[in-house]
Amino acid sequence: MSDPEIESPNTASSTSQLLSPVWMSKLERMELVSRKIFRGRMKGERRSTRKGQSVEFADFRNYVPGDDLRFIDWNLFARLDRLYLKLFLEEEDLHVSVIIDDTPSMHFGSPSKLWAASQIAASLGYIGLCRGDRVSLSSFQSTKPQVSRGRSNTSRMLSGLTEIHDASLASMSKSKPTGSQTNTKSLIGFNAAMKAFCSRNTGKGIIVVVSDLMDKNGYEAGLKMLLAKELDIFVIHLLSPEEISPTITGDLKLVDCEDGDSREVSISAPMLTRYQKTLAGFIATARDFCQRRGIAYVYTKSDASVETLIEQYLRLRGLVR
Amino acid sequence: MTWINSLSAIQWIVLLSVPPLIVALYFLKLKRLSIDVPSTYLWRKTIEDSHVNSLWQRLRRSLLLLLQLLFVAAIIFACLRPGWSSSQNIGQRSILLIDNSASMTATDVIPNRIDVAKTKAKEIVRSMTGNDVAMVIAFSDRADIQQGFTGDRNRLIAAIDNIPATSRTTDLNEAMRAAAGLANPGRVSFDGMNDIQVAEALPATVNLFSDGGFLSLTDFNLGNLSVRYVPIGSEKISNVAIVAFSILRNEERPDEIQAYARVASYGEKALEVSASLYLDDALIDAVNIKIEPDKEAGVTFDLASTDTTRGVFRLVLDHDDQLLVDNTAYAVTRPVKPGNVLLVTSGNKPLEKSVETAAVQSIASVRIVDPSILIDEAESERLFQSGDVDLVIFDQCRPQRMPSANTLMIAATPPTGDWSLGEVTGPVNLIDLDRTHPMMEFLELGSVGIVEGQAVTPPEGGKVLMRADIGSVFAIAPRGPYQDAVLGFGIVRQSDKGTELNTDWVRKRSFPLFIYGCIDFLSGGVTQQTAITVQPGQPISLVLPSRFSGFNVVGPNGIKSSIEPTPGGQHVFTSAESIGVYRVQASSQAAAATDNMTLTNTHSQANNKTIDFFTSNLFSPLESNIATAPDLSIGGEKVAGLVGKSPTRIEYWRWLLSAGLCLVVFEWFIYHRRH
Repeated sequence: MSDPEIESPNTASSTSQLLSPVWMSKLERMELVSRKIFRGRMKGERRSTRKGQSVEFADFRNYVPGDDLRFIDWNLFARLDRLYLKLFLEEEDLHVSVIIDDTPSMHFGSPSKLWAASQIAASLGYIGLCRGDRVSLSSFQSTKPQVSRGRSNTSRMLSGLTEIHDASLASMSKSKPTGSQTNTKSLIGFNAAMKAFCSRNTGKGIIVVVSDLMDKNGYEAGLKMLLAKELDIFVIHLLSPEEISPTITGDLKLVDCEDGDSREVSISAPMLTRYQKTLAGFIATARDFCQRRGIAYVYTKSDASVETLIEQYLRLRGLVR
Repeated sequence: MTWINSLSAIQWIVLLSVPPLIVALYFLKLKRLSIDVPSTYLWRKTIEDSHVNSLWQRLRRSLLLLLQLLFVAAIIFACLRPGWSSSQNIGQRSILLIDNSASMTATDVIPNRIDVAKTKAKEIVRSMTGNDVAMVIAFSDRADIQQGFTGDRNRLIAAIDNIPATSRTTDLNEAMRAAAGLANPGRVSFDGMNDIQVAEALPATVNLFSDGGFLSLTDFNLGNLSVRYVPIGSEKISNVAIVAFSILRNEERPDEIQAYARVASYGEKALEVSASLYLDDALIDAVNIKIEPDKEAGVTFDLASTDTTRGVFRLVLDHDDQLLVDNTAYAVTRPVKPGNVLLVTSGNKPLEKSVETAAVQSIASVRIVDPSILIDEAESERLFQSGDVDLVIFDQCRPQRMPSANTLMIAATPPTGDWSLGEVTGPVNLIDLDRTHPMMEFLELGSVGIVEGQAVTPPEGGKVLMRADIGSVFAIAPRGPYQDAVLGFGIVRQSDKGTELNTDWVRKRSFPLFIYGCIDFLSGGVTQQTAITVQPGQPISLVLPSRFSGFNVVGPNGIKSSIEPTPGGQHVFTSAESIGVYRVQASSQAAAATDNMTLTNTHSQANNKTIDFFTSNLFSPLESNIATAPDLSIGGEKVAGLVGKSPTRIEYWRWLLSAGLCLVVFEWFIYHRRH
């Protein structure tokens, strides 16, 4: 497995690489769909369970003193001589949160998993911004999520993503000289990141977690916390081609880039076959865990096209319409 | 299960060091390439090696290491040649009899016969299989068991390699008896019981590597032995040998000596060889000898004008043939030395007169002393034990200890107690003489009258030379290297009238003749003109004067063997292995005399005086005839020689084993170099 690419692309170019103009134009025609209807905080473009002011009729109800006289259906009063109030569906905004796993393991692959995750986040965020949704981007290591709304905040969102990417690269290159042993204490794992997210966000909405799920403490507890918040959860399981089909052989000392754990292995063809089985089991376990709990699970590779992912897989899972 | 060791100690050490080497390589080689991975999460699950760094985890995980250790273990196991004894796998017992006599140094085969015999014997050892065992016996005129029965091929081959070439003659008898020791065990019988075989008979095959140059064994029962005779030597032989060489005095002219030699030719062609005679390394004569095949020729050298009081003669055949050891012969002449006689008498005119005759004076110098010296122990010791005296005549007296010399005792017995004298009776009438004895030659004693005398009884081994009506009155018996003669009656006797004759023998002609004969025989002055010669390896008995504190024997190759003196003065020297002249030197540096004779080889450079010589010569027509016998006769059975090469099995497993080990090391090298 090759060393992670730690070159930091400049912000301008990285922004253009994250979202190409052609792709942006395609994204503008899409919208994020939640399988649940949530109450928003602000007036938006989505129907709410609340009745409010919109063009879409909802119901009638008897007039009670104090109601807004503008919503009385005068045609009915003329026919029935009784006062009825016309109710319309309220349209509210959607909360879309994208959490990117930016642990050192995400720097592996060509292109790196972090880069692919950033592209996914940028694409989903851009859809949300175009539709006036509240888009919150955060990473495992970042303490403050970047919240933006409205299409005009596109460049701000993209630069936020680039910052996440660069910050992660910087922290990794900082830990490199000290050896393979990364400062594991300061590293926030999957479960801790989910816990932090839940404590920060009280509202409902869509949450998209882009991660390789390779946390030795597991990912189940974190996902269960999100489930408890009644969020519409999407897990995009991102692996690099080098993880899926390792090209290494011989007597090696494999060093975990996150916790410095080393394993001495003699990699041979039977060993690789066993690895493939383990990997298949790992993916199947994650998919099964998600499906049992109503979490949408999408498995993808870092070298797969983000267009295919958004247009086909996420549309199939109902996240994008 | 039985095991057979196939490797030597060094080879075992090398082989057993391979497994630790492989394990050491396994641990030392692994400077594993360190690679960063996103997570060892999946790898950990794959290899389940939470304790991969522990020793056993490492060993357990390396299939390659385990396979290689198994491979080496299998090789070690195979080298022990495990096997189970079964009825179908009876190991053969072989006895390798290798002739290392003089004839085996012949060079008719390359490099020589003994090396060819060793090579063939080693082929048999290498072709041994399974439980086969063998023993190695080298034989010449004696048999040396170089290695007892063993299945260890390395020990057998080492024993074969250690067999030296000798110049000895050949006698198969002892070797065959040694070989038959286990095959034909002896039998014991107890009172009232039948014979019991002392051990189980173990049949064996005798592989006899020889040229067959020995006498047939007629009184030998092969029993359980089967003999394979491997003749060593070629059909084309050519050898000329000196089979006899001696230096003798011309009987007519005692001052002159002659050298006689017999030269034999063994081969197909008539030869003409020149024989050169050297005296102390100076050529004094040479002759050409024509010899027909398988015939002998005599050659005589007249050495009238040569000063030959003492000298080393060397006869050399100037002919380069296939056996060189018999082309040279040695002889040493001894000086003419009159005998040294001591007459101990208190007054015996007839006897004193008889030792003063011209004839006696020509062969010995006689000193007369009084018996009173016998009382002085130191003086008598000095006189008798010095070794200078050849004969002591005790006239009616006897010493406290017998001298280191021959003795003639008149009317007395040695103090040793094994002689006995009867009662004094008279008169004594002589009946018979043993005229065959040198002392009694030409004696006529028929009319001799003796007043009184005693019967003499010699100890065991003694010989009665004169008998009378009272029994034996003159006898001789050996005492170690010396001889004691005892006369049972005195020449004179003491009576009331003083000293008077006891016999009228003194008035007869035979008395001085008897005294001359006794002195000639017992003093032995001029009897031996040439030094003794022995065949190589044969023991030689030396009588050496005891006045020296020690002796050295210097061989032809310069090696000194020291001999401790013995009270009797007789020594047996057994180390005359090489052909040549041996000098006996009196040593003043040797240790004090002990009762036992010991021989130790030294290279001491002490400046010693040569007191005697002896020579060692082959002189064996059987050895010199290097024609290879096509068959042998042992115990009446004819054993045909194996013609051509005997089928042997050449094993390559050691090479394959080495190749396998090299392969393992090479594999490790390549495997680890890849990383």
